[in-house]
Amino acid sequence: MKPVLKVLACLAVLVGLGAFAVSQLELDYRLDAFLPAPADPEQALVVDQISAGPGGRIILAAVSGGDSEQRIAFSRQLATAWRQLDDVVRVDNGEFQLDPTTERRLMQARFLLLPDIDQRLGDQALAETLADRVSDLALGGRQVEELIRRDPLGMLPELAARLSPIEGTAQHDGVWLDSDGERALLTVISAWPPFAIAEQTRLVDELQASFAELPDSSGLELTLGGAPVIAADSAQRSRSDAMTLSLLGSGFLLLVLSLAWRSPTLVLAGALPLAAGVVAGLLVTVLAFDQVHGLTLAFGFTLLGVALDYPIHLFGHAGDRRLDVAARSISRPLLLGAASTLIAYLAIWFSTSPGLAQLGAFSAAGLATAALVTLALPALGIQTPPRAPGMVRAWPYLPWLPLVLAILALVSLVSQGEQRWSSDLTRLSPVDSQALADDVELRMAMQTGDVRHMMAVREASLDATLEATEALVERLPEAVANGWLAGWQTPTDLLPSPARQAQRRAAWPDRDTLAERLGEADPRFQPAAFEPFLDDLERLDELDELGPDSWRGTALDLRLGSLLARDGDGWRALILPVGLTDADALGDWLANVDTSARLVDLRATSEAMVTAYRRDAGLSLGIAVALIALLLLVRLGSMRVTAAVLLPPLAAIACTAAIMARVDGGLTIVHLVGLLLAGGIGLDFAIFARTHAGDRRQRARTNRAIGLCCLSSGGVFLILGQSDIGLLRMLGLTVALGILLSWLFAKTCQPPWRHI
Amino acid sequence: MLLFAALATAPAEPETAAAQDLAGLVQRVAEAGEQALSFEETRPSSLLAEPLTITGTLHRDGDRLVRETSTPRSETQILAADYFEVRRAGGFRQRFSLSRAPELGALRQALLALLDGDADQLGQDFAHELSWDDDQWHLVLVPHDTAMAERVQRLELSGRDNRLETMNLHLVDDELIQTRFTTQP
Repeated sequence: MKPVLKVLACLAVLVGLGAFAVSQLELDYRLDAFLPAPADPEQALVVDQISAGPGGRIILAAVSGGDSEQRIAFSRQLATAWRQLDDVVRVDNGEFQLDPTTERRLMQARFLLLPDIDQRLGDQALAETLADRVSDLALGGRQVEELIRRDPLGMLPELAARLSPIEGTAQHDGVWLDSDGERALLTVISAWPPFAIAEQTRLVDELQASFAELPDSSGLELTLGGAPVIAADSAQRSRSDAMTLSLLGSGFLLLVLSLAWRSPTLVLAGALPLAAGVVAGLLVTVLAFDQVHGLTLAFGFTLLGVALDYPIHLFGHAGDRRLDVAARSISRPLLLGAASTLIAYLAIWFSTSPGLAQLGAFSAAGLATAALVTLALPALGIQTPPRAPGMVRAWPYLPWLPLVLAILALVSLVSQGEQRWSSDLTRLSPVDSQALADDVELRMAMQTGDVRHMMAVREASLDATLEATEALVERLPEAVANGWLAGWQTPTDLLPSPARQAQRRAAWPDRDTLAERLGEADPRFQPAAFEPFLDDLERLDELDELGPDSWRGTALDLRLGSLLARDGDGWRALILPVGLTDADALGDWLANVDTSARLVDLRATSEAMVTAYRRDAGLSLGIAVALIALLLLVRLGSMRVTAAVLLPPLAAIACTAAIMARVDGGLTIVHLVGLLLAGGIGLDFAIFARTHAGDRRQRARTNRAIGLCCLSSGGVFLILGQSDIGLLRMLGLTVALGILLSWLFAKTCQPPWRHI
Repeated sequence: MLLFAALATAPAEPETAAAQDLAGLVQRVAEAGEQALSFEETRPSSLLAEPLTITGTLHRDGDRLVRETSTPRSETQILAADYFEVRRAGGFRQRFSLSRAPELGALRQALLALLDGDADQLGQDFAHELSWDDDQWHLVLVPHDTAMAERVQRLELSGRDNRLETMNLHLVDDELIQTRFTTQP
């Protein structure tokens, strides 16, 4: 069989295996996949809030442009249009309108939900309430009459006011506006959970299409935010952005290698190690993890670009020799470099972030496979076109230069202080930074409570959690009186503890007693006016106790779910402060009150989490570097040579870190991964540059191969660095810069051949 | 603030045919005065032993009609294009969609058009019939809007010369809301 056919057959087998792996692949696009695994309940809360919590169904929308009247009128049109969509549970644009189901369920449960029953039924209070109802009649029609018959105490409007989804947002003519009045605000609750990407994407498209179809939308602009939008956006971008860039990168590689090797067979064969690496990476990831994050693949394919260097080294060293001879001559440095990089990838594999762990597994498996397949390529019988080794070009031997630059870089990093690190958790999210900024900005405009602070209560059982929450809520008026906050949202508004429910049940008088008191309180009403209300009261005994599932199927289920959730073996309740002005005072007060509740500062917790994460990652990478140094020492046998091999990549890493810390306003874990990759590639350069430095012909081949590697890998990562996704951009630029510097430093540290 | 119309001002001028059509009438009513209008409204309720009497003043605020009532209690009622809002002492505010009480929409449309002297708008919203008996006029309005017509049978306005004196809102279930207008003392 001709070599080219053998190559094609191997590729076909790999494509088959790859297709099998892909068919087994279960992709997920959760936002928290690249976040560290939470170490304590507070961190778990942060990850919940950022990713898949019940709040993950809420889409925030803002309409800008036009004049104020236009926006207000349009907000109503848009809400009406959006309410027709199938994928929407609920649309709010200001007025809190109870849908019939929710209204009916609230009506049933009203006797158990409101506090202070004795006060409500006092003579004075009853007279005032009924006077309110007469006023209601003065304006309303028959519809109001029906409501008053059933609810003369006005319990439903009171509950509706308590449960109004957003308090404190500015309103004009019943429509939410931002504080400047420049945008009308709406919220949409998606019918789908946040991880149902296809459905969320469809919904986002529907929302936009329905906006564009409204005749009055010209001149107005729609901005969408919220977890479903970000998830949909992220999925689309990981696909389109990463795929486009990968295609561009592949095209670039093909061009460079075709020009360098001038043989289609070689280009095809050169793809074999990479293809085998991708397939092996896929298989290992599929086997080792239940689900694979979409971005793991996008990153993984790119990271394996490193494996493209291997055939470049192999073919580059062949020249006019047989390929198996070349393979033998490069096997030692190639395996040494691969083993070193492997150590670093294994370190990522043990990261607590599932996304990074998948990336480590994918890259480690892929890299090892690609290295072995490269050394096996001569078995296919391919030949490289004969080629003169070329000239050894004189490069200045300046080993002190990387050293000086590295020291300067370290000085720069040290002088930057803590600012060299960025602890902003959102930067680790694989999301377009504009989408994130829109989201944060919309949340601020909407003032969805104080999104930063929450009081968390955790107890072993549901009942204990609810009772502890009620005990705290009873004391909160003290904190309000001190001016620290204006109010709060608590899950016990919707689900009082069983004890509290029983207490309230018992506090209601029987039908005849209440009928008599109502009659005495306001003689203007007909004696039989409140029969439906009294019927409801009589049925109170038959009413089931409210439980966590009591609001299933209503708009209130989401609210309860976001405030009350299972937490490991126990339950966790969140009390959201409204109008919080002094978080420190509230936190201190909570610590002194007899309660298990704590004030959780989401931002501080998330920053602490990122710092701890980075420390962990830094530690494992430090250990990896030490292991790599040890491995090199054992293989190379000399401290001096080991130091000389380690200097160029380490100096390149230091300089890249210093530059990126300035450019990107602080390093993140993504930069660390990028530095690690650049270090791996740079180490290969240094090992090859050193190993073959003594032989004139070998040296010329090596330098040409290294130059080609630098051009191809550096170019691919530079292309990746053009992404809109912050994560990809940071990674691409870091690696590209690291490779360029590694190449420069490897060359300047290569001793002149006649000196060896 | 633009104040509401309908006052006995200048002595009645000789009626011409042109002044007796709808446009002429609403224009004169609109031009008639600038004071807030006092009203006394009587409406029956199946919940109450006696019909409810509401007194207070009416004025317009932009495209909204504002009723400040003194009985049965002091409160502010705002009728806007698609909601009505009640404000009571102690900061209480409640807002309802106007679809809950379409008759209030009819009331607002008719009174605002009359106040603006906008006969065209009145003609767009209602089928109308105007009759005169000397300087006494009687205007019957039937809403075009189907949702409103499900609740409002007709609106009867009557007055003398350029003054609006009574308004009877006939609802479909024979409910009648009667309003008498007087000038403010």
